[in-house]
Amino acid sequence: MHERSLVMALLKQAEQIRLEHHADRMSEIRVEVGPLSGVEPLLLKSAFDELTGRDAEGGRDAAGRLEAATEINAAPRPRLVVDEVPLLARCIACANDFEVLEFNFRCSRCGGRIRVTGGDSLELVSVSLQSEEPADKRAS
Amino acid sequence: MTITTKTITVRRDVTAEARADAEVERQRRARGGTFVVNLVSSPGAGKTSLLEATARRMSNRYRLAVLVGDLETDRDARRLSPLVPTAQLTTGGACHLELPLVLRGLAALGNPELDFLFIENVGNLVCPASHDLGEHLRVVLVSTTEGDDKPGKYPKMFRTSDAVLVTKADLLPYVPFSVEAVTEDARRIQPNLQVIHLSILNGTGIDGWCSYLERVRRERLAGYR
Repeated sequence: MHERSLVMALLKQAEQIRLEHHADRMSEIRVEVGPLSGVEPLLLKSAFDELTGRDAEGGRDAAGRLEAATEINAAPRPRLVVDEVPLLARCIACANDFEVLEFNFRCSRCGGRIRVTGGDSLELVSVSLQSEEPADKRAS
Repeated sequence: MTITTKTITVRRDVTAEARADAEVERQRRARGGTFVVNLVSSPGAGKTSLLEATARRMSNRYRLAVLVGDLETDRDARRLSPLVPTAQLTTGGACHLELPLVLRGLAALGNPELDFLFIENVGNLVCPASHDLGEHLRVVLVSTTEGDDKPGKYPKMFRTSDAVLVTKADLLPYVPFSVEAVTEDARRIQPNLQVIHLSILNGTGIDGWCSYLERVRRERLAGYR
């Protein structure tokens, strides 16, 4: 449920970038997901497949309502790459940078309080755009 | 025909806009003196009962209102509305509340001037952890019948919370639940957690809970001036 609305936000943001760069299509969307992001990569991928399917412009949900999936190029659809990143933190007292293991949120060096520095969000890393140009544009 | 490819680096949290919106609302409520409390828990841990008891204790001294989130029914709103201005937020299928629905609920109440706004989230320890409702305090309830090993299973929820309320403390003699164990498990994830135990049925701990609310409201709203 949750992954679905995230994918809709993701597609909206990626589409914005496509329009800003006047590209014909998106070939790839790359994201990073960490252990505290609240996002399950497999569910994200299936939500993405569902929302960018061949019938994306006319997807209907169980109640028969037309899905307001963002208007993206119907085909070919972009590839989603999900990089899983670790949960990282920095100790407030001793400035130790380390990876949080087994959700033990204490400094690995001094046991003190920490601040999470990575792995707690779904991040849009990059969007790969493609455009087609007619051959005669390369003339001379 | 040539195909050109270029990769645009973005490096942006997908929820950045939603979080920014929540922060705007958090500031707005704070400037108006309204302290927003987001109550989360598994279904049946006692959120509504806690709000009934809180309203009874505090509504004569403070201006309170409640927004209650559920998939279906207005059962909780019906329990609360005799005691405190209440709006039911019905999500239909969504397993958590989101900010737009909260704002609609506040509008339904007439955007009143309040000292405390309590939001009773949908009973769910998973999804609500990821949704900022513009609250100043997030409180997770764990009842004594749920087992004391739950915090480790829901790290995001406990990491993002300020306090753990151990509810149904009257049942402690009858269940294998250790307040020490749940405290240790929870503080491994979030050392700053306040742990309060209470029983709505026999009244223990409710005054302490109300005092905690008053103190935290004073402390946190002061930070917004």
